[in-house]
Amino acid sequence: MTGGDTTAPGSIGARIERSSTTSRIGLTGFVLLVILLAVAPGFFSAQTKITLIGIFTYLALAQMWNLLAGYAGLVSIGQQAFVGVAAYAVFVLAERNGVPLLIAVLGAGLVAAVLAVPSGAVALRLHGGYFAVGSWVLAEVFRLATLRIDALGAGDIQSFSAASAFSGLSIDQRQNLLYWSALALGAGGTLLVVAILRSRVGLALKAVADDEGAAQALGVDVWRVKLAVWIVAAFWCGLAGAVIHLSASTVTNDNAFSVADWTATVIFIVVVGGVSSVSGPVLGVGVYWIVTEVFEDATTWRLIVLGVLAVIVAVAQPRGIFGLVERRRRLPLFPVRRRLVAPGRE
Amino acid sequence: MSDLLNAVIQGILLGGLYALFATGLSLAFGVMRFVNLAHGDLAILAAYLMLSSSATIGMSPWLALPIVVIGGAAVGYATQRALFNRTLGRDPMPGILVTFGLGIVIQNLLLERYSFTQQRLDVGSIVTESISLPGGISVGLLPLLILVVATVLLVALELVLRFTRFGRALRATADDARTAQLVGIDDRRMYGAAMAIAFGTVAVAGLFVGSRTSFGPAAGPTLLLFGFEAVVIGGLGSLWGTLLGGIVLGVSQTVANELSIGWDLLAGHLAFLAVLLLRPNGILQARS
Amino acid sequence: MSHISIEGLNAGYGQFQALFDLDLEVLAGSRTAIIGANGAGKSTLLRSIVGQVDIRSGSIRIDGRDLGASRTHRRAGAGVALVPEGRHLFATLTVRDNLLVGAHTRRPGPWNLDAVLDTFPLIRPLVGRRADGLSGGEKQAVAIGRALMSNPNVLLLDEVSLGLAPVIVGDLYAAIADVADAGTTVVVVEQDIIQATAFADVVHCLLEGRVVLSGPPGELELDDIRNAYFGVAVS
Repeated sequence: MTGGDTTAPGSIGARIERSSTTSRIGLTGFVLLVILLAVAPGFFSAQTKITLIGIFTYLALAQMWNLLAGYAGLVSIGQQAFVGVAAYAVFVLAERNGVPLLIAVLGAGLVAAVLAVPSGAVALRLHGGYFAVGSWVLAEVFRLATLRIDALGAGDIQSFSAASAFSGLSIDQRQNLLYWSALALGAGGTLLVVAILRSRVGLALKAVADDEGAAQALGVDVWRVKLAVWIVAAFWCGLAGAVIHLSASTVTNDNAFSVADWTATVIFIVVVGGVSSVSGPVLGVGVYWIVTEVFEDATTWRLIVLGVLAVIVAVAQPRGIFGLVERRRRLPLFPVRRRLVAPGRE
Repeated sequence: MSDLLNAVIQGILLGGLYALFATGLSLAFGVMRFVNLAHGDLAILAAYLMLSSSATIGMSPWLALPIVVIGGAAVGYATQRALFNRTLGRDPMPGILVTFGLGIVIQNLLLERYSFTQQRLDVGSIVTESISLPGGISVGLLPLLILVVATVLLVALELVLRFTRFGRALRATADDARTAQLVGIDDRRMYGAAMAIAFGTVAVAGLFVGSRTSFGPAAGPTLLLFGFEAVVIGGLGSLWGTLLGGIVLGVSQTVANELSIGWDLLAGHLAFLAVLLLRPNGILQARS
Repeated sequence: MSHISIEGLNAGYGQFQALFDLDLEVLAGSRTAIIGANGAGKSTLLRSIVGQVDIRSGSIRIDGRDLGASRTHRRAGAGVALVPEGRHLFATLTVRDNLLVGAHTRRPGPWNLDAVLDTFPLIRPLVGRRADGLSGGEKQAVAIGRALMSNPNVLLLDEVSLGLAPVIVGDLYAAIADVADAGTTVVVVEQDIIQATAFADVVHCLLEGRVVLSGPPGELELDDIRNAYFGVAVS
């Protein structure tokens, strides 16, 4: 092929494509599944719906952690900060002040996003393992600070009541509402990550992942890109945290800021499913579901099994289950990669 | 006034514990840029092992300590060679994931085996003995011993690093592992040795953590965060800085608690964040 | 004193191949110079001998023993020392510690701290200084001294003269010549043809990963060397 270094792909008849046959099938399948799940709650038992709310919100948290760690290089161990803050925020809004449920959830997400600005300003000064522990310290600060606030119960259990937060909703209506919200967060979180990766921010993230210094030299404002992603993830984790705690109908300090539930489990889901791929968290949530079905209420064994799996995967198969699938054949289920298509080779 | 002075002294003593715990973290980071997120859980694991040896065969924790330290060092060496060395490289993520996963697994295994019940190691009458200083200040013998042990350990480690063949090889590997291989140093063995020291010292810290206060299976992460903060406050890669960082952290906790009860933990974290913002390379600023 | 024998060597870094079916004999006790332009594969050749390069096929033998896949630190223990391009001193260690760490293998022989400081008197007053504070020539002297501390059978030197003043280069080469005279097999990689031909008793010229010209410097025409160096066809 002729054409010098400066030739744009278009001038040699090539073009850049992001979707492929598999990604079109993948995306269509994903949308169909979501539609199916959206019309399904009438057929599910209350217990199934509770399980699915858990699965969907875990998918949302997993997509956000993957966005941070897998694409922005921010291996956070502090996502419980945003779940916890949002849990208290939705409690104050919905239970104490009678704000309608969905608006309260949105408000809780915004509170998490606002708090992500100062926390990001501090945490993003650190790199690698130090960022990981730093984000954890910040989450501890948020947890300890809420313990000091008497208006938030100073650590005592807080309950959402039928008389206030859930007023005007039957148990069934309440559950359906939370089911749909959780589904929207899981599916929406997946599509949000796809959209971010396809945008200019996605290109910048790719450049930063390849070589942070070079990206900076090319004019990528690395710090702002990372902060933006950090805030988006906090917002979405906040939304998920609000729905999770409305579904549990109580808020306790330990559960709201649980590193085991909102970060460790999430990390294990993403790592086992496959870091740095949008499909990874979806597969990982599937594995999580199987493990929870097997171990039911034995949360310690669930964490032990997931933890051991994640350690093995991180060492032996860094791209997780999705990496295993992809090794046989390139199988982009979501259209986030940019491919150069040569003329005549569709 | 004397209450405040007392708080400062108690804080310095507490800082000894943090420094003792953080020594291994500091060393592993200095030698191989590796952050072991299971470091706190390992200290708690060591404490439980000593608890069990005292409960089952009546062995005093003091007697069990050398066994746990030597066993810990062997396990540390093996873990580094078999597991952690596979995660070293430009990307820090595998190391974070593996050590964090390991920590969660240890916590939950301890929870399965020992339940939530808070425990305390029985190390004899030293726990209650104290020295009275003028002004009504009393210094507990155990906290004093911990500070002394931490200082002795740091001095010994510093001397080994400065003046022995092994110490030189370790520092050379820390500077430039690829070139260290050229002079005949097996870098992977050096990493194993550094982790052996880290696991060994954390076992000592486990004894003191478990005898100074009560502990449960989930106590590890809090320790990890304090140890990490001590390392960062003092400046990365500086063992003296780690001792100083531990003391700064300890003092800020005890003084804050003296001023307003219950604020100790939060104040410690805030002191760390303040240092991070104002002097990102640590108080000593060991290297630019 | 050792004999190096390289046969059919294909080597490179990842996807990139730098050496192609390379054959080379270095006689025991000889002074060999490898010359060639940037990217000819000179450094890769030296790094192959110490095991820092992926070898796809071919063999490297020292005194008949195939180094195979043995790791770099073992080759140092077997008496192969490389002074790497760019010196690569241990920056936070003192000059003394840099030299002492060179003796890590504990190989017996004539070289020790005093012998090195006698050979390179310019670094004697600097032994307590941190290595990252030295000048280029001082660093190069310490780097060579560090390699000598292992009492090597084979001393490999990569771009000794790069970036140094001629008078310092002259001193360094005089010291290297003494080392060779004492029986150590010396291989230097040089871009400076004059320096290389003055020092060596055998010169190999590399071009694009292959040996294109070999022989004692006295029997080679300078023009042939230049042509081989720049890739002009040798008629």
